[in-house]
Amino acid sequence: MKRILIYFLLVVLGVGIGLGYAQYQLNYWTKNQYFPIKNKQWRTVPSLGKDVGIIDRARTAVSGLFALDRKEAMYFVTAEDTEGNPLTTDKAYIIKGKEMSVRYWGITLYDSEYMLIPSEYEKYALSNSNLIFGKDRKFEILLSSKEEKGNWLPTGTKKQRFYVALRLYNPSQEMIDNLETIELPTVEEIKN
Amino acid sequence: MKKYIGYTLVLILSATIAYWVMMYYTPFIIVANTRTKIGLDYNQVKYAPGLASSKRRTVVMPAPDFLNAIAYYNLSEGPLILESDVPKDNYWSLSLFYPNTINFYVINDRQVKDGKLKLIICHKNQKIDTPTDGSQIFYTDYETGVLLTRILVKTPEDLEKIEKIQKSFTLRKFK
Repeated sequence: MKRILIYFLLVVLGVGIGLGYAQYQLNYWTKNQYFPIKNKQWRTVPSLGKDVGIIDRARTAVSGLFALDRKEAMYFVTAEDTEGNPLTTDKAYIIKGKEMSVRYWGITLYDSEYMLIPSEYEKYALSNSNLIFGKDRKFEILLSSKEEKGNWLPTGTKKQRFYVALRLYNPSQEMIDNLETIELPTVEEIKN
Repeated sequence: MKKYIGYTLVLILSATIAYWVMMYYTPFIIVANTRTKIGLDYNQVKYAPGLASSKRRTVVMPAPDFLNAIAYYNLSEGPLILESDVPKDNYWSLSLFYPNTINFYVINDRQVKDGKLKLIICHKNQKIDTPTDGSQIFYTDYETGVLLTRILVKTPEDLEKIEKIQKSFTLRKFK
């Protein structure tokens, strides 16, 4: 009888530990938008189709609900500049890149809660359908709280960390196959 | 000694099972909770009221250049038919998700002929005759799930035109 009680208590304790650890991980992914695959300063999610595993499915559910399978769209997020420092709204940054082999791509800024950054300009994103390209389809986008002409996105007046998301729709097979090495834009701090 | 090995195994096994069960069911719970949060009945379509902005803070990481419509489908009373206009030369997609967030089907504007999509959604155990009006049939593993349309809005001037396409998305029982 005593042994049965011990086993019962151990099962209860084990279930508690298992659920507690799972909850801890889910909370961490919710808070940190944790995408496991790395490409320089960018992070992305694994395939979201039928072949996705239990952990990646849970991770995507908490950090990017109803994301499309990679064949249709790819999502990259960065929280840091090229030197590995966190992106903060009190600094100015420049995104440098060139046209990518996808049908449509867009760059969006999010605040520390992964919501669009409030500002009087209500301007949240730029894409290959509305930004100004330079020679050889290269582009630069300025990120700052102060209004600028041309390719510019406001980072708002509230001092906080922020995130840059890059969405790529109908990517080429080469991009799909080389998530960790494809050339993506860079987000650099502008130093005075 | 043998007794303590048994205790340790029971503890590890129950913790492992509980961890995996929670990870497995979390997506189902999140999808169900989102439906409650949106206040949406099954087989009813919700059209996003305009583009996402910083004032609407319901979904994390909204795409501010897409206009969406969402429906939670339930096939327990039979197959459903989905209809939607599809724009020409403008990104549009319909995606179907299992109730655990797996994106099991996507079709975009380049894969739809004649600017109109008619799709019959059936559970794998439901069989219907092949339609003669060109409708496509799609079989799913689960009775419930989510349908989502995304339409790209390139410029604010396009919004009115895109809203008409967004609202052409309907879902009803297939007879």
